Amino acid sequence: MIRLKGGRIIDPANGRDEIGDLFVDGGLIVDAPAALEAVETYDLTDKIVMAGAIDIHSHIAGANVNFSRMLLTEEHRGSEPHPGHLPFSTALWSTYETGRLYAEMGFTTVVEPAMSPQNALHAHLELADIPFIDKATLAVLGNEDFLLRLLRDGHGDNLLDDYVAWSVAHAKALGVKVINAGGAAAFKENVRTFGLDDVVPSYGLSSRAILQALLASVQRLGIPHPLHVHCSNLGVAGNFVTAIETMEAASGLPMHMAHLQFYGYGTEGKRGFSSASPFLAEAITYHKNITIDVGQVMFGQTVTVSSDVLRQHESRASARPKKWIVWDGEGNGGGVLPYKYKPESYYNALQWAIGLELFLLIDDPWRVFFTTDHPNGAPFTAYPQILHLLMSADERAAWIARLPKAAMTMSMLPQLTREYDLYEVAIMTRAAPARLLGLLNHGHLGIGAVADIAVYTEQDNKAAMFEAADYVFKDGELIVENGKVKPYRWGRTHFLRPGHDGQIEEWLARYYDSTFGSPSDIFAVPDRLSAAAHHFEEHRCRT
Amino acid sequence: MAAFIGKTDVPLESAVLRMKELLGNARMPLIAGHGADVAGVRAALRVAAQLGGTVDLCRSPGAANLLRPLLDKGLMFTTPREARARADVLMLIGPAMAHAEAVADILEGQPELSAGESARRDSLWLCPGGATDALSRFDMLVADADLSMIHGILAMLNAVARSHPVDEDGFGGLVGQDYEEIAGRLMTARFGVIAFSPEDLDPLAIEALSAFAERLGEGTRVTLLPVINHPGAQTAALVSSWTTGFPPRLGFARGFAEFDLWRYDAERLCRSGEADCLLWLSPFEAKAPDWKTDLPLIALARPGTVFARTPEIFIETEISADGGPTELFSARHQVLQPVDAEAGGMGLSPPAAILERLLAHLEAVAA
Repeated sequence: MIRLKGGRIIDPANGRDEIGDLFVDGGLIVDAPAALEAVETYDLTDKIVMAGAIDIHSHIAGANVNFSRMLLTEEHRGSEPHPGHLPFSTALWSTYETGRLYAEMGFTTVVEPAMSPQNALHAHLELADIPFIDKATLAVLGNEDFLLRLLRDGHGDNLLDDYVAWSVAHAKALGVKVINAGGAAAFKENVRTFGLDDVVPSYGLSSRAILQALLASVQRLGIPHPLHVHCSNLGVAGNFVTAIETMEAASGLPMHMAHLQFYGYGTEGKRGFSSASPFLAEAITYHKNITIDVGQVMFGQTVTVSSDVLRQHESRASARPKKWIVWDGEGNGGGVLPYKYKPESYYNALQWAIGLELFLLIDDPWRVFFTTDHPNGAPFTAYPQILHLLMSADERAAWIARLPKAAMTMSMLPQLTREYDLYEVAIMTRAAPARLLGLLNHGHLGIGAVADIAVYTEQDNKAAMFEAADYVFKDGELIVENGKVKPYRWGRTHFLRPGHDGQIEEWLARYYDSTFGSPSDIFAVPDRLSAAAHHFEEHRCRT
Repeated sequence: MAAFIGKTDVPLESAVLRMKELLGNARMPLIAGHGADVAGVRAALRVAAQLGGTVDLCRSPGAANLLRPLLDKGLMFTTPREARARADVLMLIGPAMAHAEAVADILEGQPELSAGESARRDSLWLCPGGATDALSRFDMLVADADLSMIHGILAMLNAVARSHPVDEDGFGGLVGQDYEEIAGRLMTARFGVIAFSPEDLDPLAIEALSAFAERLGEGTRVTLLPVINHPGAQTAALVSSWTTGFPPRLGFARGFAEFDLWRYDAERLCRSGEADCLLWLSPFEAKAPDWKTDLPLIALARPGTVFARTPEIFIETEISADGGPTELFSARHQVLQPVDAEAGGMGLSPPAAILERLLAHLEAVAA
C-alpha cells in the first residue's frame, strides 16, 4: 500500500480541494488502513495532487499519423540518445516518445479521435506501442457507402443501430466520430465545397441528415461518449455560422464538437477574417447539450492530419513545406498537410487569439475541453504553455504585445481578464473528460477510482509546473519521478462492444463480397495483439 | 527447427549465443532483408537499437522506390476496394500488375459506386511487357509501350494533361494520338485510378506519375493506387515509422534513430566496408542477399535458401501465428491484418521468437 501524505488534493469530481492523504492499493484508491506501519509513504507537503490528466482528442496513432511521419522525416531528426532501458523513447514523434512525454506531464489517458474502421488494426498496433498511458479510439463513420445506402434507402433505425454497433465493436472503439458528414463521399464525386445542407449527389443526403442519424443512433445505443463531431467548412472564413447551425441541428441531443477554434472565423475586417468566438461562446452557453474542445493554435511548424479529405485537398496550396498526402478510403480516407503557424501572420495570430477567447469566454469548465487537436493546432507538448496562458492574464498580455496589432485589435482577448484556477484546470483536464468518455473510474480520486495520479509543485510559472510532474502513478505504480519516466510500463486500451443483431453481419458479408470482393471481417480487430503487454478493457454502454 | 553454425546442425540456443557473439563484437552490425511480421520488425528494431546497429529492411524489389517520392512530394492514392467499386477508368502500368492479387480483385468488380450497377469499367494497361496473358480474361485496351522509356512516356502524358502540344509521331511506341486518348479517358473519368507497382517504376517515374494524377485531379477525380506486393517490406516500413519515426533505412550508431535512404543502403554499406557483420532476414521467400559480400553472415531465412557461401549462422524461420498472435501487411488487401493462425505450418520459430531470445542475452549483458 502507498500513502500520499499531506498534499493539496484537487478532485472536482468529488467536490474536494483540501490538504489530505490518499491511499493506494492494488492499483486503486482505497480507504485509509487501520494501521499505517507497513505503508510506503510519499510526503507531498506543499504539492498539488490531481487525478491523471485525460486528453480527449489527440491524433497519436493510425495510418494518417504514420503517413505524416514519413512525409516529414526532415522535421523530426533526433539528437538525444535514449537511455538503455528505454529504447526509442527519444525518437521524435515515435509511439514511445509520445507515451513518455504525455506521462511526464501527468497525462495517463489519451484518445485517438479519428480511427478509420478499415485501418483499425493498424491504429491499435500503434497504440499498443505507446507506453505508460491508457488509450482509446473513436471510430469514424458518416462517409462510407454502406451507411449512406442504409440512410438513402430508408432501412430504419434498427439496422442503422446494428451497423453502428457492429462498427464500434469490430474496430474496438470507445465511441463514434463523424468528420464532415458526407463531405468525403461528395469529394469522391468531385464536389469541392460541402456545407451542412449540401447533398452527397448519389445519395440525396445532406450532411445534416447524416449527422442527425448518427447522433440519434449513438444515443439509442447508449454509447457513453456523445457523437464526436468535426463540422463541415473547417477553416473557412464565416464558418461560425456552420458551427452554430450544427449545434442547432443536434436538437438537444448530447453532442461533442471538436476543435471549435477552427470554426471561430467571421468575415469582418479588410481581410475578411475575424474572430467569431463571442457568438460561439454565447451559443454554447445556450445549448447545454453541447460540449466542445478548443484545438488551440500555437506558433511554429506542425502538420495538419485530418480525415476531412475534402478540406485537406482544397487547402493543399497552403502546405509548408510544399508537399502533401491525400487519400480516398472506404469511408473518409485522409489528408496530411504540413503547416507553419507564424506569429507575424495576421491570420495565425488571430487563430491563436480565437482559441484563447473560447477558453475564457465559455464559463463552464465541464463543457470546454483542453486540446490543440494535436498536431493540427500545435503539438501536445505545448499544453503546459497553454495552461500558463489560461492561468495568467499577464502572460497573455506579454504575448499580445508581440503579435500583430491588426490581429489583436480584431480580438477581444486583450480585454479578457479571467484566469483559470487549479480547480478549473482539474475539471477541464481530469474530471470532465472522464465523465464525457464514460470512464467513470478515471479522472477522480475517490475511493475505488483507478489510481492514476499526478503530483505537481505549484509555481507561478504554470508552464514549468505542468511540463514535468513530480510524481505520476499509473494504476498505483510509480511511472514518473521528478519529471522523468521510470522503466516502461504498458497501459490498456478502452473499448465498447455494443450488442447488435447477427443479421447485420450477414448483410455486410454480402455487401463486402459483391462491392469490394473481400470478406467483411478483414478489418476486425482481434482480442489479442502481438504486443506482449497489451490488453483491451471492455466498457459497457448505458442501459 | 534447424539451426546451423557453418554446416553443423546445432541447438537453437547455441546458434543464438553465437549470434550474440558475432553481433556484439561488430562495430557496425547491419540488419537487412525482406522485413518480417509486426512482431519480427519490432524485435529487429530493438536488436539494432541495443547494438547501435543499422537497419535496411527495404531489400524487396521496389521497396525503396515509393518512399523517395512519398517523402519528397507526397502522394494522392486510394485503396483496392475503392478502386474496384468506384474506378470507372482504370489504368494499369507495368508488368507487375499481372500477378498482383489486389489488381485481379479490382478487375473482377464493377464501378457501381461511381457509374451505377450496370456500368462497365474502361480499363487500359500501359507498358504490360509480355505479361498480358495473365489478365487476358478482362476486357481492356493494351498500350504496349516500352517500360524502359517510362520517364519520357510520363512526360508526354504530363504535357497532354497541361494542354501542351506533343509530337504526333509520339514516343516510346505510342503516337501522339495514343497519348491524347489515354489522358483523355482519365480526364473524363468520374473517378479515375492509376495502379502501378513500385517494382516497375523508379522514384522519378512515380513522382512524374503523381504530378500527372495531381494535374488531372484539378478538374476531375483521378488518384493513384500503388500496389505493394511484398508484405514484409511494407510491414517493416509501417512498424519502423511508428517505432522510430522513420522508414527502415536507419541507423542507431549515435544512440538515436537516424534516417537516410542512401547512407543506410545495405548493399552500399557492405560494399564500402562500413558494415562488418550482416544479419539477413528473409522469412517469406528463400532469398539470399542479391549482392556479393564477404562479411560474416547470420541468416534468419526460409529453408532452402541458397547463399553464395555458407553463412556463419543459418536459422530456418517462417512467419506463423504458432507462438501467439501477430500481424502482417496483406498484399491482397493492402492493409495490416492478423496472420492466420493456420498459416505457416513447418513448425519453425518465427523471426520474433529468435530475435527475442537474442535480445534476452543482449539485454542481460547491458544490464
